[in-house]
Amino acid sequence: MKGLIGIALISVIAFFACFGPLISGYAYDAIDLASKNQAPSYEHWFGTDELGRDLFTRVWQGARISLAVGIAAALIDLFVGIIWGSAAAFARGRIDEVMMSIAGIFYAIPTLLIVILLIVVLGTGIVSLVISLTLLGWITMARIVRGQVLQIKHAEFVLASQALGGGFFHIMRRHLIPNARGPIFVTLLLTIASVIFMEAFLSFLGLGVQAPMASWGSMANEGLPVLPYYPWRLMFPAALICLTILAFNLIGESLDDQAITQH
Amino acid sequence: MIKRLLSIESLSLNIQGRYLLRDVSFAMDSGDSLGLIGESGSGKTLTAKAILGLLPAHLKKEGRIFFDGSATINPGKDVGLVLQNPMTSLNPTLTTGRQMVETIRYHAGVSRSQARERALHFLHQVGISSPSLRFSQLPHELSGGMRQRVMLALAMAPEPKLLIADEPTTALDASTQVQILDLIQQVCRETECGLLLISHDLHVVSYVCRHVAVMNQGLLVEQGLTENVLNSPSHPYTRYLLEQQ
Repeated sequence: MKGLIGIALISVIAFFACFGPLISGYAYDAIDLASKNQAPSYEHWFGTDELGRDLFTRVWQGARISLAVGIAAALIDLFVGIIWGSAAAFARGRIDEVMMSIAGIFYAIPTLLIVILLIVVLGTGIVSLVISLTLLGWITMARIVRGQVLQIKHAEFVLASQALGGGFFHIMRRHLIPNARGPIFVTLLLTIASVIFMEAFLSFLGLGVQAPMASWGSMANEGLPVLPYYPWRLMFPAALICLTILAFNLIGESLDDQAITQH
Repeated sequence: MIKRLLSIESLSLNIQGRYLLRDVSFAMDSGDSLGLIGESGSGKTLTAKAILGLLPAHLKKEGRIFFDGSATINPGKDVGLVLQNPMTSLNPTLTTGRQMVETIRYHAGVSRSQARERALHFLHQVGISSPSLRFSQLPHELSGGMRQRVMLALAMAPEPKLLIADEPTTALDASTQVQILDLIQQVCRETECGLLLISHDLHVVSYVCRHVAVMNQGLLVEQGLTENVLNSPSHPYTRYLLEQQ
């Protein structure tokens, strides 16, 4: 049930992210000073901002960026995490210790601090946003993968595969990852949710996506000072941030529940 | 003509000076069957892993293993392996067919459809009654005996010259045990494949193997023709084992 609600929410958000800016009939950066700060109406479904830009278009334009950043960063985390975690688990001994200590040291650095520093160094923009979010994000995935691989690598089917001549990558691809896909997938979904939140947060601070591009965070930032007069300018992006994160968490949690009841 | 298939010359394994196997030597001719017998922890499985080259890296190996006259052994291609527990020795996320086709293609380098045909042939050979149905099923849909048959088909698919069966029937019930033992014997005879059967059960070994080697605490204490060893054991440990049964 939880999972279905999550999937439905994601589907709706993804649909509007794809087609929202097309069906509104406005461009996300089209300035129309004659109709600025309008309340939601038939013309402008979510109202307009102080430059008269259509908020419905901008919210879904922002959804594209939020989802793209979230999914891209989570996939990079997945990739790095799987390689790092499984290499450590396979090597064991000193190499494992060193690899996981490096991960631990990275984990100990306050995320926000390093992300802000990196964005200052790399400059603002989507690419540096993704880089700075993945620099620390892969650690959770690496730890999960390592734990799973340690559990599975002594299974007899792995030994049987080695006895049949299977190499490291074959065993990784065919035996270890498929048997660890549950926890990996749950972690992936929760990572997407947290990355979307971080992106919104950084954009809110002005460190993320820059004008005239729209992102939920930057729109919320613009809407905050005028909250008493034009509440819809904060309401819509904030609601979408909440709903998206809720949706990914719901799917992740329901998969987790299923995994627990299966065992 | 009888050829020497496998010879192990004073194989020792130690972990930081503590010996797990000490000076183990035995030999097998091609097409022969040898039973390796002993209690848990006597080093039977370690010997098998040493032959396959699958020892953990922290074990120090001494001595030499020759297979078919050469010191290098190609796991899978030269030596097949059947493990004790068929519930855990097949990957639960892959269908039987997939596991077989991959193995065959890896070793024989044939096309997907050829590999499929061969897989069905092998499944039929190990006495699976409806191979094309079982082909597309996952391990949990098969019974224990059937899984062990699939495991055997998988091990025999690359057409090895030696099959190592590590307690192949311990996890099965009594009537299935006999079927599987008969099957292993039959398959080995048909393909002229040597059999190294590891077991703690004297009955199993005497039922299947022409030769027997008895291991105790990392030492090979006695070896010879099965009937000789079982009828007139020379080592006290063998006598002890016989009394236990």
